[in-house]
Amino acid sequence: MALLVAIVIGAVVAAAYVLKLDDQVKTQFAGKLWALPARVFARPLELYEGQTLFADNLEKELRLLNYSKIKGKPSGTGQFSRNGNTFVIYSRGFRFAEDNEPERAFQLTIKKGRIASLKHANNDDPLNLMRIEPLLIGNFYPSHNEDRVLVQLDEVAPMLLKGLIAVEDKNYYDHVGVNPKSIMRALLANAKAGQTVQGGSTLTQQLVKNFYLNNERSIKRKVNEATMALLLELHSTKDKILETYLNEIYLGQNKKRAIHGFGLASQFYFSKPIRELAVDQIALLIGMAKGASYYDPRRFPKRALERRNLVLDIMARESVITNADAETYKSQPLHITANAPPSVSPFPAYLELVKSQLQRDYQEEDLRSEGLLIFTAMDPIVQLTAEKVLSKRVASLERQQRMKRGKLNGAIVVSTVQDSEVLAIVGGRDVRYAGYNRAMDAKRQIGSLVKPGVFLAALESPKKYTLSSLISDGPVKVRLSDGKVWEPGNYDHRDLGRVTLEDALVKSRNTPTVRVGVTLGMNKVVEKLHDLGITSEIPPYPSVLLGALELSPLEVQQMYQTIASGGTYTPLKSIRFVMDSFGQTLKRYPLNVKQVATPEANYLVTYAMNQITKRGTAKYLSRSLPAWKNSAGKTGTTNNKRDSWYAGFTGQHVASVWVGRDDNKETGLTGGTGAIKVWSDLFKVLPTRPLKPVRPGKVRFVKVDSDTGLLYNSNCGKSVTRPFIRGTQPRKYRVCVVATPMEETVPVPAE
Amino acid sequence: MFKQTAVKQCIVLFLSLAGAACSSTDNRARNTNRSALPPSPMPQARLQAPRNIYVPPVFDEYRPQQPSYSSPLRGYEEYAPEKNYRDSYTSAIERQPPAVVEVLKPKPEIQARSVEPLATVVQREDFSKNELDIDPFASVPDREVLSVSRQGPAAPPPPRSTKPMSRAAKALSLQAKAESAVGRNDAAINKVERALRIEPQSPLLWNQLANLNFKKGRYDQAIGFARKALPMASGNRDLVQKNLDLMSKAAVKTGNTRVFKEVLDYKKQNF
Repeated sequence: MALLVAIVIGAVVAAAYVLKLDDQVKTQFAGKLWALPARVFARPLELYEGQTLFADNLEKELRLLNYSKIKGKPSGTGQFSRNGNTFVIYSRGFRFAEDNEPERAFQLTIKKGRIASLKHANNDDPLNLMRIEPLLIGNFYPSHNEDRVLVQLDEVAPMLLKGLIAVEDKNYYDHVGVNPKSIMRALLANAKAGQTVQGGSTLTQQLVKNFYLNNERSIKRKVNEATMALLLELHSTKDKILETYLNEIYLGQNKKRAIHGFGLASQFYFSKPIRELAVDQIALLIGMAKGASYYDPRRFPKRALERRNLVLDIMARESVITNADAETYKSQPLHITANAPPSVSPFPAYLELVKSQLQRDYQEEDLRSEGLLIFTAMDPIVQLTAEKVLSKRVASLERQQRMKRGKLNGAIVVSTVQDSEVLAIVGGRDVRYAGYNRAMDAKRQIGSLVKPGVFLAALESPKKYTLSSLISDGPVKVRLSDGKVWEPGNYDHRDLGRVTLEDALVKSRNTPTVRVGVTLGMNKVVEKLHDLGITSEIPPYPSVLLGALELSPLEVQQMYQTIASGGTYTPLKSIRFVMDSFGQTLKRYPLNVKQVATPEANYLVTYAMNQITKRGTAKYLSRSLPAWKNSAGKTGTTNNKRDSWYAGFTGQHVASVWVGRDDNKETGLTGGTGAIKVWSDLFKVLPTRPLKPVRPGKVRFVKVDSDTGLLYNSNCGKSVTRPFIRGTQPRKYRVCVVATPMEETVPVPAE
Repeated sequence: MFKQTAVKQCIVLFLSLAGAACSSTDNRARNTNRSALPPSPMPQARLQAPRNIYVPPVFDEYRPQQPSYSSPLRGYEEYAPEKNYRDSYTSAIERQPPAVVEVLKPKPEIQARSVEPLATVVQREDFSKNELDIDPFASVPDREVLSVSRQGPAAPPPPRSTKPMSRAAKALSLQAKAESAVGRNDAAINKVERALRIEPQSPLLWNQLANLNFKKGRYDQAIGFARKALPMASGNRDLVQKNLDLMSKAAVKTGNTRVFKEVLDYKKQNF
């Protein structure tokens, strides 16, 4: 009787325990399985006939995307061949939200820096426009640092599945989760050998072990595993379990991050997507399922090779591959990449900008675990070029100024004029480490960079100020509200008499700027600076007119972006759109414009800034850049030559450069001797359209006298053709006073 | 400059404490409802409402400013500060516009360039004679000009409005039209933006973008894009007219009267 009761109670307890396990299996399996990191992509390279593209840059991009360069025709995705300037590429394709970019084999020829012809490799269908898949530039990882590249069962080669089953669990499709026969076999083998040499676990049991439990090896644990495996088989299908296994099995370690799943392991060991793997590479991965650290091919290559060959033998024995093939593969070396891919992004500065924009719209946790796909506008070629240019030129400037090595630093921001998309951010010379991002975080006084804003505000009152307005260059005193008097001077302490407004900007004269700014009203100037996109607080001190205003290069970039795009303010953006892991667009960031300066005043300022590169403080560019690369810009230097700035734009790109010391000591460099060289180095190699501002209808050019700014009198003086808003051009001719040699006592006005 | 400000504020704070100490001894008998310290000279948040019983502090800077329209001293230009009392109480001292006192060096006669005793005032009609309807930037080539010497002087590039669109941009533009016909305006905008990256100076694409934004209800953006297309389309009268019409339509929707004026001005200037 008592025995019966004990049995019943035991059964009830066992049943309860099993139900608990069952509950665990169900909730773990039914709910969301994996937290996927958010992936950040650069822009997809667009290809079309007429596109400016250098052949070496195309090759660089393909290599960044881990395309293999082969001889002969590419046979599978991820391969390309190059013959001089002709490429034959088999692209991988990519699924964007609305439009799918299919994989393609195509051929293109580059002539004189442009794509001369683009067509399909195999047939004659026209190919107008296509994109190569975007480069992955970074990830935002979930808190437990896991990462996966999910694969579906139908995406993997059947060879992989057959091989896996053959090696790990021959009768996978026949058992119910636990295979008593294999357990028996393993027990016998272990008893014979005296130690554990064989495992009798099925794939389901291995999955349970990997997924739910950790690495204890006790009887109780094994019983738990077995029960849960049975329950799992009840709740799910063989295929689903196999797919989960493919994505869950532990296959390596990348510093802090565990590599789970065949999809990510194939990227980690071979830098290729799983469908591009060869049979011997697949065999290696299958072999590692048993013990990824023990068979790590980078640390224990011999062990890994033996294991791989054993797997190939088993596969041949189970007729997954032929014996002849197995022999061929066994003689191959391990085709792994020598180094693990970096565990952190190579572009931390750009990722910082992406993150700051995302945090406006997404919660931190969703960002890190929902598997979002974030498509940015970053151009990896421009980024790498800018990084190289900055580090080389800053090193050379440092040597030239006889500074201690490593003291001078700089930052660059590059964006496009039309869409205001940031293409590249260089935060310093030491680019690969997520250190101090000077482009976004280093606020320095901008010096003369503020002057275009001041003159733009002035030119918006065209009846009061035109490019020809004469302003005194003499010393100026400004009485501040506290009674003090501020007496700024020109940087060369000279007095040029009266200068035209254009010359005041072109030659970067201080005192005319102060006169114009204070007479116009500090509130107007500050308002215009805010309109141009500066969000930091601008105190209405007159010293702001000379640039006593601390901004980061990114904020300077926004200001010059607005001027470059004809007076339309478009906030700088890095993200184009965000997609979820199912392929739906979650959020778009479309183009947004707001006219903040009249097109006419903006054109006048752009014209003057173009003159700066021809005859002003940025004359260096007319020597160093080819004549057709027309650009406009402004140099900036601060007190005691602490900061050297140059911000400028062409027809397609805007770039701001800062060069200075982190400890804010003097560098001896001005904008025209320091930062401009970095800018010029960058634009020498960057393919860009020249500056060709569109002339607004109300602007007309008039020949005026270069000294007085009045209408040109052909009898004396020099003429210069200057733009004016219709109705505001000078109305008086310059009067020529002829010197009569008789009157020697009265000084004669010079001509 | 900023260091000066910080030091100045420290001094003012110190003085304010001293002033409080002195003045409280004077007014002890009066039993006024005053806090121990006068309002701090640090900038206060503008959202603070002024207290009902306001006791003005004892510094010159906070005295209500009378507009100093004093008789202008000869030879000086003085800037009249604005009557913005609230700002002068609630914000930092420096937020008053400064006065410019110009000290012109006495110029020797030789340097006088501005002697124009006989300048003739030209009549209004003569101005248009001097205007040159040129565009000096038009001669800048669209791209790199490699061998100029062999080809001779290059022909000036065709005006932007008549240049045909590249095939890629045209294909995208057609796809966008198809998408918007089905009602997928967002996808259409995506495609037009992509086309604009290929061909940024095409007035047709900007016009198409303006139309799509109008359909989506983003009227301000539609005006902005149509405005951007205007100078690019300056040779093509029909296209200019289409853009102006779009601007007017969008202005009606938003009630933006300035845009009407802008459209009328443009028509007057150019037609």
